Amino acid sequence: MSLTASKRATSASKAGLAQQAYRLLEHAIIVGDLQPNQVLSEPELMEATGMGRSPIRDAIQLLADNHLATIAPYRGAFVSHLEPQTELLLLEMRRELDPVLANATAENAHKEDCRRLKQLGRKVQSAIDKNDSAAIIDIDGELKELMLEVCGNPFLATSLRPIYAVCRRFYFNAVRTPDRSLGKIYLEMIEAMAAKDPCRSEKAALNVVEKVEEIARNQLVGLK
Amino acid sequence: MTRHLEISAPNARKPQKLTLAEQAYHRLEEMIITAELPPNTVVSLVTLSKQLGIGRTPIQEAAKRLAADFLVEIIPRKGLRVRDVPKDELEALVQARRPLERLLARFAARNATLEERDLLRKGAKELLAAAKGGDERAVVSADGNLKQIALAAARNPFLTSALGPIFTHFRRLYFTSVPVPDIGVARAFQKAYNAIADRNEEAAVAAMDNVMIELQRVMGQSSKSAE
Repeated sequence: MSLTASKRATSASKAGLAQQAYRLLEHAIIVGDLQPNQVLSEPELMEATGMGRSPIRDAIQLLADNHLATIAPYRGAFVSHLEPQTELLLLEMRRELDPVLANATAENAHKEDCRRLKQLGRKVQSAIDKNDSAAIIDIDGELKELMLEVCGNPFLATSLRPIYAVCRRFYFNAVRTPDRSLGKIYLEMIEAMAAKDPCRSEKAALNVVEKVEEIARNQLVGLK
Repeated sequence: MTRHLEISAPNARKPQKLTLAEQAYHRLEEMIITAELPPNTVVSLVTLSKQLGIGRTPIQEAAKRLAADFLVEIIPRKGLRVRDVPKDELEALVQARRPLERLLARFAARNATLEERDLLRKGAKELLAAAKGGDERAVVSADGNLKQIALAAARNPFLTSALGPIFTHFRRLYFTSVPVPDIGVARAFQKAYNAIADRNEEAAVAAMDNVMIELQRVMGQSSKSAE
């Protein structure tokens, strides 16, 4: 019994390290420190992050699962190149999926989850006040991971995880200062979930997607 | 879960030769769906390797992927255990599948080629005929075939990787809970696939919602999830 417990703890911390490495690499891809088509070399990433081979390798697999990296047989892994239109495609999907996730999160949130939601809400507010977009990238990652866990639906979680990762990349790659009107409805969504109000959460989630869509469309027009 | 297709795959739809790991994955998946490997079965990788005539390494790779799809648990040094079907699995599946099927209907209606639209009409007719004839095997095969055509027509790799494991779990539940093919479900599917073939997005989405209601009806559940 104690053996299984300790083994579980080891594998949990191993997953934790991989998750940590994943967050670092995802962040680097989003802010452009790692560019599209750039090769993800294990030795270089180990040196850059100070992490071991195993978590780096697992993190690259997680990036591939989330469509952020492509692993080519015999050629190694590289950062995926994604067409700008992919963002609109994903946001169209999120119109259907985000309200379902927000509803399920509000429905299933325990006291501790509500506390963590409120805490993330405060972090978002302070990052907006400080104009700190880089901080929001990580808070958004944390919030989405919390929602995917709390919603209690593993199928919804595996469907949405890659969509959120790629959306984060598109959004923050283009938006360098926090958008205050988006911040406001984003906070409303967090508050609604923390208040365990499924209906309100669902509506707020749709508002957030629509606002992000509006911002994305304006950027695409700007690109042309 | 990029494994259900490559990111650049939507246009290159040449049938590719499956790797040994992929072959092992599909064989094991089928065995789990049809309860040839019933829930809670513990089986060693060596046994599976012998039984399927596929080497240890691809079997191990397949086991990892099955674990990521929540179909098995890996037991270190022992092999794998087929996961039990949780009581609330249908509810969770429907909650995730409903919005994704709406998207499938919408994207497929938008992007299907002339050839795919013909295949959908033809396939839907076959599905209904198989259901009317009470031929379960033909129903399963027509259903799987239609799903593949619709997913290819949608040209959306995120949708494909999201729906893959959901279809698998749903098929396992359906296989064990619905003894004879249901004509109502087949009719509802035909309506949805025909609407996709007509390239009518809104009608396709509405018809697909109806498919989900029909599926829940035959699987003996009140439609209380999600909303």
